[in-house]
Amino acid sequence: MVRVGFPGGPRLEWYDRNPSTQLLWYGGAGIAPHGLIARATYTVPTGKKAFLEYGIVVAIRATAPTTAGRVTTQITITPSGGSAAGFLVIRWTSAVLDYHESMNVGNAGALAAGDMIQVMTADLSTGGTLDYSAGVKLTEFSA
Amino acid sequence: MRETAKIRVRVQAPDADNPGYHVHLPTYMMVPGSEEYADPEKKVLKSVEVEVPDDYVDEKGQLSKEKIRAKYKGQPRWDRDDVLNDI
Repeated sequence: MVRVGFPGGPRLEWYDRNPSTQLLWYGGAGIAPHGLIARATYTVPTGKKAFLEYGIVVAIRATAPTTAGRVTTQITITPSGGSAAGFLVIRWTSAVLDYHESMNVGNAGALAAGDMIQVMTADLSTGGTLDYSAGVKLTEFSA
Repeated sequence: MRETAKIRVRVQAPDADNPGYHVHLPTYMMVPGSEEYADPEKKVLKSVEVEVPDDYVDEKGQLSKEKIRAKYKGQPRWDRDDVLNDI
């Protein structure tokens, strides 16, 4: 005999499988020059997945530098066992006050257990400061 | 992270797994302005305050190796006895 259907009922949608909101954020004002720093990191726990719903990176020149250097604000994804790759990346060089660049994306897909996402900043200028806003919103759920 | 705990931790220099200064924890958010530098020129980060998920810490508010290993069970980078050695 062939049975048609799902004995236990259909599987719940991902957003109904023990969901929890995960916010990864860095918002710094008047930040002095620095080398590359991983400001925030999120790793998907075992037995979970995470849907990446929104990401944004913004960097604004707040005070003028003596010498402008490359400014980087980026979000990278490192798959479990793999190497980091840029997901959202802005890079610019300017001494002009209020100069800024930004990038954002929505509904960017799912991360698997062990995958890592990082918010990173760098400012290779001499003197001066920047304001940063960068982060992602994820929903973590049972795999 | 919905519920978080705040704790001061060491910052690690870039390495093969991470191109930038970082904290050796699977999930964290640095608290802006909490950076402590190892040198007067502020070139080398020494420590920083971070927010971590509250299920990383024990009842005393200290990071728990057992809880972190359980949450990332089977993940080679985190499910290891020395997971908190660099913190």
